[in-house]
Amino acid sequence: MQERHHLPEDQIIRDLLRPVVYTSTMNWVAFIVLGGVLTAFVFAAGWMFYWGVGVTGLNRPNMWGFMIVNFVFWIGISHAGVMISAILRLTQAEWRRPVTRAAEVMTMFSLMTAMTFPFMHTGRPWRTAYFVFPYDFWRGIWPDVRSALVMDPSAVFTYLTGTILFVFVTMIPDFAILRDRSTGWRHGLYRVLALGFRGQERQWKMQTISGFLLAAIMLSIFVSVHSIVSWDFAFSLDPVWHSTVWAPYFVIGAVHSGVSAVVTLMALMRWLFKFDSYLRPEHFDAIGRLLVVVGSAWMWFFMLDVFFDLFRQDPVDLVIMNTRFFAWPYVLLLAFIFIFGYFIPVPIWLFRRFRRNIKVMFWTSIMVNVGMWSERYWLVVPGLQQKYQWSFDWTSYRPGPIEVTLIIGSFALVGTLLLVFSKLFPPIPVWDELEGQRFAGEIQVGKRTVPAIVREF
Amino acid sequence: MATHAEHAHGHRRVQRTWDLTPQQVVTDGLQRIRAAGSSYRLALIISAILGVIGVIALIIRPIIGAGWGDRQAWTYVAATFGFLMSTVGSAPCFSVAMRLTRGHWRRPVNRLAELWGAGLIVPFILLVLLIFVLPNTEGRQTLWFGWWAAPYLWDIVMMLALTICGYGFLYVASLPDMAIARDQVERDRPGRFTRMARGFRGTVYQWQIIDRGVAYLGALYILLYVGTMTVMASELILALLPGDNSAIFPAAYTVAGLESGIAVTIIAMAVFRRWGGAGEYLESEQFFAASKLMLALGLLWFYFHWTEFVIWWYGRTPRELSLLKVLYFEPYFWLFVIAFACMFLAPLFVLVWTRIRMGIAGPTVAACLVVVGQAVDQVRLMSASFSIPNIYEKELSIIPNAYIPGVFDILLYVGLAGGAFALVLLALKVVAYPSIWEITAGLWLRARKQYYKTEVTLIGKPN
Amino acid sequence: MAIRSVLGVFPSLDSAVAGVDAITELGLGREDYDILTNAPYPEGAFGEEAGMHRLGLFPLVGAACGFSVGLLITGGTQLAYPLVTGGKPLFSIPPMFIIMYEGTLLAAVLFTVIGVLFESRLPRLGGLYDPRITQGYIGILAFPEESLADRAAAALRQAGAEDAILEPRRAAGGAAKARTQQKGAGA
Repeated sequence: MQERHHLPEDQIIRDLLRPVVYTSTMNWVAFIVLGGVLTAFVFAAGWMFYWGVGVTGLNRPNMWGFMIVNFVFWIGISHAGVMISAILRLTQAEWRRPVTRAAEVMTMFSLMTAMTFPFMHTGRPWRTAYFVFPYDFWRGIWPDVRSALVMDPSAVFTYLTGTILFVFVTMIPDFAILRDRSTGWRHGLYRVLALGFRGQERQWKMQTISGFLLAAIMLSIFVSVHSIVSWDFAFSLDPVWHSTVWAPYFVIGAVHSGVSAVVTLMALMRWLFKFDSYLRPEHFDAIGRLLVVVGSAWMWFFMLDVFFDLFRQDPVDLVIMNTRFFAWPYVLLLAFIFIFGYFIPVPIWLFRRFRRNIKVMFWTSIMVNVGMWSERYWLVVPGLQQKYQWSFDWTSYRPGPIEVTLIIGSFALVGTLLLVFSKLFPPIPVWDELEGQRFAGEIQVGKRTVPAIVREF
Repeated sequence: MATHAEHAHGHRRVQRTWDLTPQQVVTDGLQRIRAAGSSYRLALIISAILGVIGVIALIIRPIIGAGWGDRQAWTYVAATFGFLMSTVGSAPCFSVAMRLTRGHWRRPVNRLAELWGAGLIVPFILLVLLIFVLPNTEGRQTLWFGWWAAPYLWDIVMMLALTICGYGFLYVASLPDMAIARDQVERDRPGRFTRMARGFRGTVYQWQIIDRGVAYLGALYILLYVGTMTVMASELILALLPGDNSAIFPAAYTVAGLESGIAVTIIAMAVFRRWGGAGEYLESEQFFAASKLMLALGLLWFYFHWTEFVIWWYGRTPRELSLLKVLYFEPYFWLFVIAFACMFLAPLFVLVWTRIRMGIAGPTVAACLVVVGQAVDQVRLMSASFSIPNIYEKELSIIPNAYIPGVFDILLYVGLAGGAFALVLLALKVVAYPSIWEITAGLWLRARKQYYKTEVTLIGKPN
Repeated sequence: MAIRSVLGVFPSLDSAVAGVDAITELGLGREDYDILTNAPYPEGAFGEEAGMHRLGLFPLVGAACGFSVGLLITGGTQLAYPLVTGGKPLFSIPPMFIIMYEGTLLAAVLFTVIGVLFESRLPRLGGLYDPRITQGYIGILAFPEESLADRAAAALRQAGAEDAILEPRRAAGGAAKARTQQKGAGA
């Protein structure tokens, strides 16, 4: 049973714009805490740039560590936006309305955060620009398009550009709403962004069609992005990395972690912005059901990867699998993957009662991401650690305090960006909610009133 | 391009199904049970004859080969098994997926998808025969890692569970309609419906059982299907190809199966619409939605095969190059081209156009091509894996020549597929189509309403 | 004849539909008025909108452009700087495909967004508008001939409009141009 409320339109507008016009105490606390962590992040990054990557735990042969893992993690989180938004738009799922904006914005900010890590990882980011952009004619040296490290930036750049444009197009009507209710510099900002939108029928039609078109295109980009990220690893001949399943496995893992992150974000928005009438238990219920399917699909791919690594009984693969399964700390991470990534949350989500409990959903979604972060570490690091048979510094990688600070800081970075966004723009699409109200109806079946939606065909 | 919005806004004709009365639905559902019709009988006779031919070929083919010892002689038995698993075996998964999406368009389609499951006994029997051809797990690539009685017992157990679950799913999902048939057709003389419908009277409790039974059996069926296909892809293909540990392959194999499962359902929809008198139930809405899913799976087919190809292409180890040759480029190149064209290009270029998806002919043609592609692809895969002389190598040292089928191979392939189809047709004797209870339940949940200057459809969402 | 726009601002859906009826009675066709709202209503609620658009073409053209640029960059760079890496062919097609795919989609997105703006006739400068529309009021923006404008405004008011704003008088050519700009071709 849906518990959709019929709210007056002006109340919807007022409620959804509240975060923009009003800053609660909790909001200030969040700003201060996140700001503090961000300061530490900036300090750690500065420290690393000054002293070099030697201050991290990176060492031969393990040159990819926490920062690359975190890159993969945030790219994964970014997959939620399009997963939720595009698929739900294409399937015309009604419950998408309050979820899409937050998911898309999270995509944008987590992608930006993810992109900082490979640059930071180089130790001298400003020099990286010098290597990355030799696209010029006079030296005659061109980047090797066969390298996954060329494909990766092209994919991430495409995804980021696409996401920003996607978010922008869907926000134009809300800019117009803000434009008509603001003064001062904000009015100027919203006026420019609204581009003179005034809600003509034709403009709405374009808005709807573009939602479908962009969703379909973004979905195609979304699949390619994490595939290409996985190929950063899988194109090499490194044992256990060189696996045919990694592309879809990364994508489905990204969806698992990303959709869970959307749940986390929804719960936080509900508490922080008092969106109880908009982010209702039915939305958590629907997303929980989706997560059962996504989580199980991820588990299937995880199993495929593990089983077929062992399938050939190749001695080099076996050594690494042995490390992954039995050596410290990978055995702990494996436990996290199984327990937090699947075996606690998914059985819980099978029960409607728990899916509709926001606290349970919040904590299980956090759990999934603990599991998924561990999974990325478990996948990436051991592969390099024992790559060569005659390497004398196996298992030499221990993340340093700088790396740990950078990782924690990245969460603060995304959090701060989301908070700043919600101070400027409504985190739930106002026009979409209004449309939802207008397309809501009821059908009487005997004594039961069934909630219904209007379809135009 | 896929402009779904054009569908949403440009397609205003309402499906006639939802204007029918419950009595009309009952009449339509029982029509075929009351009088089967000549075209039905003709189809049944032809497919039964094909089935008999298939069984004869199945007996003769190993005899002229070297029995269980000659693995190559069993190539087409394996291909038939794979083909049936990917069609009759996977169609019920489509039904489960449709139930998960909770759209009302699914109501006239579910039963058709489940009906295909009636043929599951054929691949089960084929696996029982094939199991004797499989080498034990000693010294070869295997998923079982020395597990007791593996692979023989567990393969059979999985397949048996899938088969039972498939029949159970079909039975539970059509039980209410059997009760209707019991009361309407066998009022005077109790017969098969009285026996099969048990005491179903439609009490609230019984409906709860049906609802849960369908949901749980459906979920179980999908889990078993994915598990079985994963194991079968490993046993019949990967384990027999030295050095092939492509982890994506079982997923690609399963996805291909799901794609052709939708394809056979779409074909069944077209047949029932044209010859089965179900024109009022199967309209463009059903073809549109089903073909959209088939298109998505066609894209996944390409994506999964591409990821396998590109990893091997980058790896370039002798092991990978020989696998690329044996599966894609040398002996079975043309089979792969046909499969690629039918399983990916056809759905893509036909179904990407909204206008075509909204018709009947486009999705049907694409579905037929997908089934052809699936049939060819099974031949490619099984011919490659069943022709390797020494499966105990670390990597394939010699690329064997293509396996050229004999007459009995072809007869066996076509015949057994026809036999499975005969079983599906037989099931129509006890299972009503269209599904009376599901469509009737949908009738309450749609309403037409004047909304100022336009008329809109209200779709009830009870859950 | 010169066109002079009138914007009626209606507080409710019922009154707005009555407003549509009122101006239709005046002889204005579906192409002579437009509805302004803060969120979509079910299509056709105010009568079928007859606008044509070519939004579907934009991503196709974009995809073609992106594909070509991708082909040029990936093919050209390999030919311009032939270097064997990892035993792969000097002219390797599979990696080209990946980057061309990204290029295709990037340009498809860019062109779609350009298409949305173009087909929505955005950015728009000037034209009749009332900020109450984003509060939930419904605007009927009618484009009657100048001689009919006052009657149209009166009819809108009579149908329940809280306000009927008339476009300031201007030269004939200018007004006709303004109408095209406001409505967009085919609207």
